Formats: sequence, structure tokens, C-alpha cells
Amino acid sequence: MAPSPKYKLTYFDLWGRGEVTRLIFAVSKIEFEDDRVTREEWPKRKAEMPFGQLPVLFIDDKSPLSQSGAMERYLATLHGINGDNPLEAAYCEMICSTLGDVFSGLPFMEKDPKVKAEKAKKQWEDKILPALKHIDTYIGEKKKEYIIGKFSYADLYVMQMLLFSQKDYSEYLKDIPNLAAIRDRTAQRDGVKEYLATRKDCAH
Amino acid sequence: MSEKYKLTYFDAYGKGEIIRILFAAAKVEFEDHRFKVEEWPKISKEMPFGVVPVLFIDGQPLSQSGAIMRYIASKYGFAGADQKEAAYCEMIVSQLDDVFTKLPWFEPDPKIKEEKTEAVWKESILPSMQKMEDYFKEKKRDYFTGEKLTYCDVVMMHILIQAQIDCPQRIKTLPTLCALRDRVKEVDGVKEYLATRKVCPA
Repeated sequence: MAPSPKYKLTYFDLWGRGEVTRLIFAVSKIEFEDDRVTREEWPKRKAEMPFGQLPVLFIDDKSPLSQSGAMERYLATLHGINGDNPLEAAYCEMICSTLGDVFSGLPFMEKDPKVKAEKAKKQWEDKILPALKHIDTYIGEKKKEYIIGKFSYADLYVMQMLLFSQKDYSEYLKDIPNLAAIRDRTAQRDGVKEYLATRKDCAH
Repeated sequence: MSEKYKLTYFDAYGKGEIIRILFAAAKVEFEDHRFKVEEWPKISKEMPFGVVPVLFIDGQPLSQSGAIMRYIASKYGFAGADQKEAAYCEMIVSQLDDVFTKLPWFEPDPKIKEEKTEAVWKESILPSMQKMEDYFKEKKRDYFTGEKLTYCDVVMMHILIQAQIDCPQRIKTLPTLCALRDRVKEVDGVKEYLATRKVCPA
């Protein structure tokens, strides 16, 4: 059997666009070097990256792969958590991209707390909640244990978004029981449970 | 029995045209449902997440252009020879999407639009595309990520066809990518589609 490749994930010391990849490694029980770059170090490290951005996944110290979606889908497929066919993989991507779109609209960089709260409220009410409720209803109707039925990286995405939301936005998580159940089920999975117990807590 | 497809999108290129071109390259029929801007409020309510494009597959909706693109590519053999190549296709296409999204598509003032466009090309688009040009030139092969046509090549073609029309002077430093564009334009299926498609400003 071929040896497992050597993986290094280079990202900032954040959850952000790196945490789902870390979770995929955790649930797949694959070791990786969790290379976290500080803001001070970043200017010196930038040139190593294919397009000067993070996250980047290095496979056997070469072939740097950027774009969080690309590395998530690559690793998920390799480790059997990207559905069993192109259609299931497409639904995983649809859910993850939809969540990515709506959550990325939150005012992460806003310094004025009052403006931040207003913008966040608007994003939750106008974009995030409608998306979550839609997914929640669909899962409920189809009586699915996980987003596509069987466990996939899309469930890691859902779990991560809801765990992040618990910090500052818990009041919005009341009416999505099916997604909350997926969050809890996923958090108990072998590999995920251990990782969550010891991972670094980040603001986002 | 083969799947029945309907693509719902604006009567424009936007995020829909790549999907139309991929169907053409795959020689797969689909219903090309185009709606006018005035219809959008009504259509939006009918879409699962209020966004388009949506691909209806035997009546079941799939949204998110990336998911749709990769679905058609995977099903019809344009997603690379293996998982690694598929990942690099996604990396390049997503990088292009990131930088082109920064353009001031909806800026009403033409002077401001031109200034912002120039800035985005200089600061974001060209730095990324120059790296792609240098990488591809070194590889000396017909297609960007490997030995066969992938959706990454189709995206590159679409972007550079538009750039050739809108701002040819900006892509003068990308000759190898332009040669790729010209090669993909001749691919069976794509060629016929380009010859007869409705031309849109964007």
C-alpha cells in the first residue's frame, strides 16, 4: 500500500477558511502539519503561495493547492465523505457554497460595535436565516440523518457554522432543529469529538 | 434513461454562460430558460435559495454555479484525469472567479467604472493571470491542467473571448493563454455553439 502523502495546511491562526479542512483531516484521522501564520509573518510567507493568498494545502511539500473549496473537495473525495456520485457531490457543494456565501457577508472587519451589530442583524435576517431555514425544512421533509443522507463534509461545514454562530448569534439558532441535530450528531463523531475537545478557540 | 436538464438564468452571460458552453462541449441538450431582469423578483421566489443560476435535473433544483459546473464536468468527462487534477481545475477557476468578481460590474458612472476596472486588472486580475500564463507556458501542453480538455480550459476561453472584445490591450502579456483560448474555440461542440449563440455584453 502506498504511504499516505505528507500534508501541510498553511493558514492564519483562525477558523475562517481553514477550519473545515482541519475538520476533514480530523474525521478522516489523517495527520497533517497545522501551519498557522501570524499577521507579522505573513508578508514574508506570501511569495510561497500560488496566488499570494491563504489557505494553501501542500501535498508532499510540493503541488501547493489554494482555494478552500478545492482542498475541501479534494480531501473529502479522497476520504469517502463527498457523496457516492457526482450528483451527491454537487449537493454537498451547493450547501457548502450557499452557507459560505451567506456567512461571508457578516461584518467581520467592522470596528464600530453599533454598526457591526446592525449589519450583522441585517445579514442574519435577510440572508443567513432564510438559507438555514430552507435547508432545515428540506432535511426535515426528507427525514435525513445528514445533509445528503449519509455523512459528508457538508455536515462538517454546517457544524462549524453553527458552532461559530453560538458565540455572538445564538439567538438566531432557535428555529432550525434539524440542522442543530446534524451539528450535534457530527460533533459526536469519532475524530471530530476529539478534535473539538482540544482545538484552539478562535473569534472566527 | 438520460437526465433532462433546464438551466434558469438571466438573459446574459454572467455566471450562466460557462454552463451553456459546457453543455455544448458535452453535446448534451438542455432547456436554456432565460428571463429578463424585470421578471427577477418573481423568479427569485421560485428558486431554492433565491439565487440563479439553477440547473433543474429531472425537475430537482441544483444551485451554485460552481456545483453545477463541476457536476456537468464530472458527468461528461471534463473534470480532469484524477482527483488531483480536478482540484487544480477548481483552484484555477475559483481564483479567476475571485479576481473577476472584484470588477465594478454594476457601477453606473462610466468614468468611475473605468477607473475601478483599470485598478482591478492591474492589482488583482493580471497578477493572477500572469502567474497562470507563466505556469502554462512552462508546461508546453495543449490544456491547462493536464492532457485533455477540462472545464478550466473552457472558463479560460470564455474570459479571454470577453477580454479580447472589451480590452484587448490588457491581455497582451498572456499569449500562451490566448493560444489556449483559440484552441478551445475550435473544439467540436464549442465551435458550433459560439457561432450561433446569442451575443451578450456580459
